[in-house]
Amino acid sequence: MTDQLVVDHASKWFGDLVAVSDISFTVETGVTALLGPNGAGKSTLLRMLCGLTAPSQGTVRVLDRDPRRDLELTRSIGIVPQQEGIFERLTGREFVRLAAVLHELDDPDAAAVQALEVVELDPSDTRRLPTYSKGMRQRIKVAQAIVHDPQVLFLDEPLTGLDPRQRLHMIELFHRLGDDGRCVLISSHVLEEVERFGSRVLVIAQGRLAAEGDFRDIRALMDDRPLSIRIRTDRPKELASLLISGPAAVGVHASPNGALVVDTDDVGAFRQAIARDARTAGARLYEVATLDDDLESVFRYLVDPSRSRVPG
Amino acid sequence: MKRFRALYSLILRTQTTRARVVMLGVLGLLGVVIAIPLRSADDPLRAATHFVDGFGLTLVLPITTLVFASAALGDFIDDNTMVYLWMRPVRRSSLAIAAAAATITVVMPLVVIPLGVAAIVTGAGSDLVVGTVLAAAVGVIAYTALFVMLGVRVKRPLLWGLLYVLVWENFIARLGESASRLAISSYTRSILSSITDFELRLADKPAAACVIVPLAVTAAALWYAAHRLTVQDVA
Repeated sequence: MTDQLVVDHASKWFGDLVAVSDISFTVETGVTALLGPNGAGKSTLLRMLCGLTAPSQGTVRVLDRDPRRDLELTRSIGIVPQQEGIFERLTGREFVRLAAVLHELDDPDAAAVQALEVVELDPSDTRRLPTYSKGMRQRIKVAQAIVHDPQVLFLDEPLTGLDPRQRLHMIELFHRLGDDGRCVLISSHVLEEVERFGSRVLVIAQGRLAAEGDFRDIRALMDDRPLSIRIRTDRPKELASLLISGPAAVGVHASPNGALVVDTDDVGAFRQAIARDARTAGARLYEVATLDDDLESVFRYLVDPSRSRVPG
Repeated sequence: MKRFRALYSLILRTQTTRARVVMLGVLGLLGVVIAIPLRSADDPLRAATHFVDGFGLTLVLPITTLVFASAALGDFIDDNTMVYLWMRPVRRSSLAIAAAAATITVVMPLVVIPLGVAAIVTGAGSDLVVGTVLAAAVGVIAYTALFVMLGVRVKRPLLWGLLYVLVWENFIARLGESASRLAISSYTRSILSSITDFELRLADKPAAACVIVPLAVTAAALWYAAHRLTVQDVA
């Protein structure tokens, strides 16, 4: 199968700020997720792939063409940008129809109606776009992206603002498009979301490609990472000694504010141990919280496992 | 053509907000009201020509055009919706030309009608009316292209446009002959001056220049706007 997207040593900087740093990867047909925390460079990468901005260094090819220079390539690309801005004076149908007209479709109105129905929006809705809810806006953005049936779809955080049922529907739609032989690249900063997109994942952190491959492998890598957990209890000493004598904790120390910080390599074992040991010690638990369960730390771990632990 | 029409009507609808039309409509009406007492001036042609020059061609015309033209594409860049036009197989020159066409559609009546009526109201004769209408029409076209380009090129097109109109055209360009060649107002004023046969300072550009220079400015500005749309980043 030929590569649909080829990113070769691409970097992008804005003045002193490096947004994307020497990234290389290829993407084939099907659904691929672009996972990374906010500010990791996902949007910049998608903008480069769309030709909205040129890489400062390296090359970006879409269907073996240069997206920055090839105007005709836009016929093969659909984009759902992250920004909220939308044509305020148009109705939803006019917005999607405009896209169809500009793409020179034979029957723009029919194409618009069909795209609206795919995203479950009412084509007879005559309200203007500013009255739309966040979820509706998100869906209308997807409708304008698919109206011309593009080969490549770039979706920047497309599930933001959708309710769970709509999310499910959108994910199904993306899978259908991928299964039909299209190339669908979806960015997200939500781990659980990406889990449902499909098997291939590109992980971006601090402008670099931190990991790529099957989602299950990356998930396993993430679950294996060491975690620091903060515990507030009325009997810190008793609980600490019980925990350290068990297999779940590799280290326990007291933080300056009186809480315990437990380091563990095995979250599952820790969950069982903490309940059992608290009961044994007769300790009340006021708080059990991970110190570094934010995505940023997950990505820090993926980039450099040796430096991932948060100091207690 | 279908695509051009779609762009044209989108731009027209987006830029023509009620607030803009009311505000600038009032400015034009103000011109008509101010023109009424000029009927009883000692030298009506002198008073009327100075009024059309000082209020119409150097204020109503550029300001009204600036507000609509800078918004024509500038609004899309400001609210990050340009991506929905940029990611289509539409030539960037079509975008720039559609923006100019839409702007001229809304600005031409907003400028030419009140200034024409004001010229009639002064009672200074038909030459003044013809001169005013012709000068205003030429000005609308040239300013439109210039300010559409500004809307693409700079972050605060209204501010830069106002600086151009107030500082360059109304101050520096009035200091000497060479600077005056680089101001659109010199050519619109020259049209007015030559048709009314009433001399205005630094408004003695030859008739050919009064046609060629505004047209050249229009073409160059639209070309540059299209070029910027091709090379600059889109949010």
